[in-house]
Amino acid sequence: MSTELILEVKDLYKHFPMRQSMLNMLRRRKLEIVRAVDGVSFSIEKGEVLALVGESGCGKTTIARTLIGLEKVTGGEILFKGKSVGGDGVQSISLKQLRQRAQVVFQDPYESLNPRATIYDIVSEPLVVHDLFKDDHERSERVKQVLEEAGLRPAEDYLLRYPHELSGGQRQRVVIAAAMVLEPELLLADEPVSMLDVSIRAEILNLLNALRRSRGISILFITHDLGTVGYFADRLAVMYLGRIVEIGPTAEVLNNPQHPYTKALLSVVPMPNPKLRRKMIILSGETPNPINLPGGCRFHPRCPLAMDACKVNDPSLDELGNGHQVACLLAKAE
Amino acid sequence: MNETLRPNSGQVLLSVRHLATEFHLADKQVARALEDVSFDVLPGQTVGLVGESGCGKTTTLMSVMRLLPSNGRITSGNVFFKGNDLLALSEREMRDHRWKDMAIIFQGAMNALNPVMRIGDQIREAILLHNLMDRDPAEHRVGELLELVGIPRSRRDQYPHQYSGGMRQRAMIAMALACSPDLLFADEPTTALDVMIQAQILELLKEIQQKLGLAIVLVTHDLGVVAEMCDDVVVMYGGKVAEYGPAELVYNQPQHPYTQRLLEAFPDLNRSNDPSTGKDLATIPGTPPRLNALPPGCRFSPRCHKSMEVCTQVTPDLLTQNTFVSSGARHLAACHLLDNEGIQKS
Repeated sequence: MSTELILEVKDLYKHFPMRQSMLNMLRRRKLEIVRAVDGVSFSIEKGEVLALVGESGCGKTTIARTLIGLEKVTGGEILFKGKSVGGDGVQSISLKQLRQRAQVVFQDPYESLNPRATIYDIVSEPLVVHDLFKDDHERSERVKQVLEEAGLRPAEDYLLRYPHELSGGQRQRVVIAAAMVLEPELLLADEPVSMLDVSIRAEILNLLNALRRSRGISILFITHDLGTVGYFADRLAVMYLGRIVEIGPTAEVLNNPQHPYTKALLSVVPMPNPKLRRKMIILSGETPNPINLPGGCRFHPRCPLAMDACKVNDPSLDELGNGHQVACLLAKAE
Repeated sequence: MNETLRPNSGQVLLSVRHLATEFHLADKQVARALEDVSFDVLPGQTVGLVGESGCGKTTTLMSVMRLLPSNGRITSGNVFFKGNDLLALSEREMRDHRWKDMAIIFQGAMNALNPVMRIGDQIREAILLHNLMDRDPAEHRVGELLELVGIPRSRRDQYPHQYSGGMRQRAMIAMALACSPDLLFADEPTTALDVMIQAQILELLKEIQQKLGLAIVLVTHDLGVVAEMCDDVVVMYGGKVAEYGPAELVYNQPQHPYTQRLLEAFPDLNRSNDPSTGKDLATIPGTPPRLNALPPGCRFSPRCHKSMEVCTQVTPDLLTQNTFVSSGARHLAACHLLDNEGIQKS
């Protein structure tokens, strides 16, 4: 395997201390800590799409925010092309350098565009910030080129328009164009299609897929929608309460899930065919909050297959072969 | 004119016929939000209204409930509930039907509850406003309802902000059931929820339906949810019904080009392929029509890959022209490609 690693995340922790009242401080109560990301490791190769799926509150978005430096890491290391992010050694890369080469696309195309800026201003701003394409003509050529690549053709029609004049799908294309204008090597896409209608969702996924194929860009695709993952991701990581519980090649995880949580999650994805109605594994209750984590395996209180050992032993993420890893005592026993 | 769309089915609970609704916009413009919408709901049945944003799903519910905003007006059609035309009733008579005969749960469970009122009190208020029940039996009923929707009675006195999204939606369902309606309208009841919570809520709706013999009209943009839940499906496009029939037929033998494309564009776990070789998802070029600038003829014709000359001139009719009968169930599609026997003209 000589493929180049674009991103390596090693044992990442992100804890948020809860705000404490004066009274509790005087009582010397222990400070409560939200363990949003609690020991996560993964890597993304050049041109690869890794999907990160899980329910709200599992830590998916915190990972993206930490990767791009919007949150400080509590522990662990992030390497971008082998260089440590945010460090000050020779073998490190500054946040500003990172943000030129890694870009984010957020969920809501209505909130992530400045309503008072024209499309040209929005898409050219990253070039201004990073001091690229200083010549006006070159800059506007670059903006037009990237808008056309994002499917806004002809680009001249869009340059002087404002976000409110565009539809949701067109806005998301503008967001993607603004992310692509710096020719990043890594795109962090946080639920990029959740707010869009079915036919537009398909267009945006196809656009991201085309960019990946033509540019060899790597994508971390964060979503709660397992349906879209199969079309788009090479590998799939399933998160539960701040940890990856299962990771592997997409087809392998979708067709042969090993972790009881992955199995349950897959069983409740609504299938667009009434003939395929099947037995759902519906977990009771909701994801507990990551302040008071259960001992042992953190999934055991909701796990339909939990054994006594699960209350005590916290399973590590172990290889099953072919890059398929799972953190479950049962899968290991078999 | 009032032929039944579901043959051999006994009594029809709700029957919507040729319903048309307009909205008056600024500058004297008129948006024809609904035109010629017809469908039936049988007792205990689940009917799905599905389509993309702006296709008229919610407007259909609001027209049937007569809860349109002040600039909206029903221009023609009938809504029969157990044989009575709701559109002929006075506002006062209509008020008696809401909650007692049909209730609605709205899209944002977060915003539909009063934030400064205890959950139990909100449910009791709904009972007291509509029933002639005294306080004590009403309180008893609150307990029953909470149990029915799976909320522990100990949480009766909590406020909405102490509830999670899923629990709030359960509270909304309890409130909608307060006056024992026969028909429940659910407008995107699970859209903002996680898949697991969505599965819990859908399971709850199925359970309640079986226990109470409730009919449900489910409005959603999620083709998967409709396939899991519904007996019949109404596919809407640009304020009109594009296709209507039993879910099995609509999903497995879609007749309208819009339904066909929509199903192809929907990501399906079972059809997943190797992403690196990259077969793209199907898309529908163009955008849905603006309701104040509708194209002539079939509203889907500008985006339709099978569009013919007649499509841009004559509006296809769902009920009279193009009926498609298969295995005893009627499956209708408003499309010129189908003739009266539902045979595809090539």
